[in-house]
Amino acid sequence: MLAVQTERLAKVFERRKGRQRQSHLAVDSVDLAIDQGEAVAFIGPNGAGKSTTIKMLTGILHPSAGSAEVLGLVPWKSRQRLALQIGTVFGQRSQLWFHLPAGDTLRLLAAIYDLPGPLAKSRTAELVERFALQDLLSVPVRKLSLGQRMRFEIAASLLHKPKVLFLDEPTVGLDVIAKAEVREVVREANRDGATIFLTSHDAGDIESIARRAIVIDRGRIVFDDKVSQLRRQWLTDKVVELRSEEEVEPPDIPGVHVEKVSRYGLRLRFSAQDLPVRQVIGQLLERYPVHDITISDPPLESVIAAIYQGQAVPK
Amino acid sequence: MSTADRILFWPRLLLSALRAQAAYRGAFVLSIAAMVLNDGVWLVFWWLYFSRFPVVHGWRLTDIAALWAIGATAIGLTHGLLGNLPRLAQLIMQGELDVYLSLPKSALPHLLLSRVHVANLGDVVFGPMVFLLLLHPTPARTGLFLLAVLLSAAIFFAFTLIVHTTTFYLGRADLLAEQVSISMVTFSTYPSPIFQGALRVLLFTVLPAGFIDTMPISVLRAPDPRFIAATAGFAVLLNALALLFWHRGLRRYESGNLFQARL
Repeated sequence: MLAVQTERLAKVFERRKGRQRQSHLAVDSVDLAIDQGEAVAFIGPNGAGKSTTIKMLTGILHPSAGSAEVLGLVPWKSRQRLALQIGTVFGQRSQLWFHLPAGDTLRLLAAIYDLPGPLAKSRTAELVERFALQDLLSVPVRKLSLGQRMRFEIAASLLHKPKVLFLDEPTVGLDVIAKAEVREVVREANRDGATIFLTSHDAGDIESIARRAIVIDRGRIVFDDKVSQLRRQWLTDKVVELRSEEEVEPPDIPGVHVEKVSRYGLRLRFSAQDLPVRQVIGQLLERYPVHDITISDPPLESVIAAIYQGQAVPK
Repeated sequence: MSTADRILFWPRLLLSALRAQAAYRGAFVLSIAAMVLNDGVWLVFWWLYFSRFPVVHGWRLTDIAALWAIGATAIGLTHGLLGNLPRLAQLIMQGELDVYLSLPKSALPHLLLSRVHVANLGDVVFGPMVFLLLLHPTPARTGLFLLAVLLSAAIFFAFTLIVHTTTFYLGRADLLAEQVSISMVTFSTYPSPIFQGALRVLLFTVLPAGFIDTMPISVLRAPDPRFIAATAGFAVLLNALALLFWHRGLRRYESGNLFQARL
């Protein structure tokens, strides 16, 4: 069964410039089909339409055209019913009460989700233990660190065991350890059956949480496949790391960019679309007494940077 | 969760909002005391005025005291306990409704009861205090006072909601909403007979402060069933219009991406 389905979903924002009205097409005919239990990264540069899409899927915004269903409900028509079945985490927007102790705010959110007393207690206790929040329950939210606050945000969004979890930049501003904790928790929610719909600029979030990536640019979906395919298809570059038995001089092969040179090692980069891999490797093997050689795809961060810099859409 | 629990959620939310603001106890108490003092100074001003001119268009000092008791309590309820009401234009403009729209509760009561405005809580203290100390409360008069407060609060609430929800339609209406709300409060603190002609028409239509100005005479001193019925009818209509504005406006809500905390 599909958890999220959209057809030609679009959103136009009207802007006034002087006396003139201007239309800005933020989301343009987006078609999505996401199965229950999937973990999807929805990525794209700032202003691509990611947050606007999430806000339509959670019923916050009404679309200008097209249709959408989340768990069989039209979000903007059945907003409250849908909210009982989904969880949302907006990295830049807190659902916790800033001045109240974090434990009180969890109890209040349990009431917002209509959880009966005993269930609210057991579920809260379970999440408090899972996120190691015991010592922080009596601390006002304003006094929590960003990482601690995000742990509470995600715990709060999981209180009612949502079937779909929408995460908009859940690790923004977190340190490495806090990011790892958040990712682990989201993976665990996914293992428990929750569908994950994640937007993030962080390659680590995408690689560790999602198996599928959907890339949106200027309001349109430009890529929808596995995360591994994203890396391969978007950048046709290959990275070659070579370890030689003798001291090396950088090679002068047209089309091959030397990224790093050490006494016995080289890191090279070239486009597999312009130069066949076997040709480059052949020349390297001829030239150097190779001790070890690895060929890899570029890191996902390079792919994301390429997308954001507007490099060509893969075929 | 039972229906009773669902109903009790709203006072519980309000209590949490109060606790959140009372986190800084000293500032909380001082803000309330300052508003009580501010309202008190106005009453002293009217006392000085009426000591020179005991009757103005049939109004006496007790009528002015009643007007302040009713108006302050009504404003305290709508702007103090529903602390996000006077900030609504700003919340809409800055895209701060997202939190309320992403949770499974009705967004309007949820956002209104999520914050108290401490200074206006002083009005909730001041109004009943004036009634109890200066206006000879009997059970019947207390009932009439509560009725006047209820009608005034309903009009203040609907009017404020309408002017703030214009933000959905105009894009930016926070300054307009603030100015118009201040005018409404200002015109609600003077005896109604001093306004005549076109201004009087305005005060019973576009800027309905006239209904509130008339409460001390037509509800408290000499209850007029026709006035009470007309005011109740107007309040119901105005509230229906306000809710229509709100729900229609939500379709035009544009959200935003500012960093936000729930204060």
